Amino acid sequence: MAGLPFDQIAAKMKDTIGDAVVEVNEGDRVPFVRVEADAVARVARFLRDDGELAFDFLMYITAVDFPDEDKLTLVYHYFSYQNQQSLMVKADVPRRGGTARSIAHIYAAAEWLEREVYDLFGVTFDGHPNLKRILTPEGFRGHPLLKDFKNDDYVPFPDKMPGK
Amino acid sequence: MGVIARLPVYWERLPGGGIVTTNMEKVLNWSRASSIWYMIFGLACCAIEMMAAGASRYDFDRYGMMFRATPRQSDLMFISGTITLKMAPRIRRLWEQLAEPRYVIAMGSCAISGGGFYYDAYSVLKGIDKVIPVDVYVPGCPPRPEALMHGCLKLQEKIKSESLTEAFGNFKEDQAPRERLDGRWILVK
Repeated sequence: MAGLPFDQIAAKMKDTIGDAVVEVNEGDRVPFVRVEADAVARVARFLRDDGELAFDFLMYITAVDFPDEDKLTLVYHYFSYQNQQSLMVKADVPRRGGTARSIAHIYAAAEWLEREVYDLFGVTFDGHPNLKRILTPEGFRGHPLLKDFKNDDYVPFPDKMPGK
Repeated sequence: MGVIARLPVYWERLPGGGIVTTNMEKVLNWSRASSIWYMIFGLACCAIEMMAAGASRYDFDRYGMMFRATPRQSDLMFISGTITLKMAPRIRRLWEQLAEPRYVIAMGSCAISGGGFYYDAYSVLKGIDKVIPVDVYVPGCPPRPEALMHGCLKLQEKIKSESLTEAFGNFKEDQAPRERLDGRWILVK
């Protein structure tokens, strides 16, 4: 019950939602498809509803910070129980004020995952039902997984421990 | 005179009269120290050691210590692990729900000072005594169950040395470091 190989998945995505696909990368250790940030919801719906692909499980959403290129890359991991295979989809957004379409109405799991990405990276998701911080305390300032994050309340580790 | 000055609050509650007050105090303290019920509450890896201490191999029950599933039936709270800034106000609230007289054991480096590994983190409280008062500190990373049990014996000593007015009269909430809670972290109140 093996699913389609990656190149056929990518080809199928290009055929049906080709305007959303930016890049197909088979060279990396984990092959991925890069799509437009506006179109992640359309891509997610296609991946879930297509009978042959059937990526019915959203494993994870995270992001990677690239300060030199001034971009954040959202990373979506999909999994198909039917075909026992996974697929990585990426989307680039600007580092400050980045926005992507929410997929919480397609995968319920995305609600908390998108809140986490919003909390730690500051990416907002259009159409999310309850976009607020999930891990850091209420009233926290900044997004801690950005590489230029500064902690206002930083307490340096004491040079000398008491009694030394 | 000092003994008598501390008496009136609980005079009526002492069964069978209270002429030998010191002894009554000792009896009550002995019973309190011999049945410390602690709350089921774990934060991080220290909690695993706490569970081990509670299970049959080490067996807290030999000290009369049982876990309770609610703070309202508990005397003791182990702070067993790293306290994140998000968790701190919740711990404070749980502590406030503990029945008086209540005791706190700070277990491990994280609960004592923020810890060696997580001290530099943006999300970690530098010691639970910034939020609630602590009776016994048990160092270690994590402390072995034997160390935790030693801490419990120290707590028993402390309970046995208390006067009843100390235990029941002075509400520790007044002594708690409340002002340090004022800040932008604390919204549960």
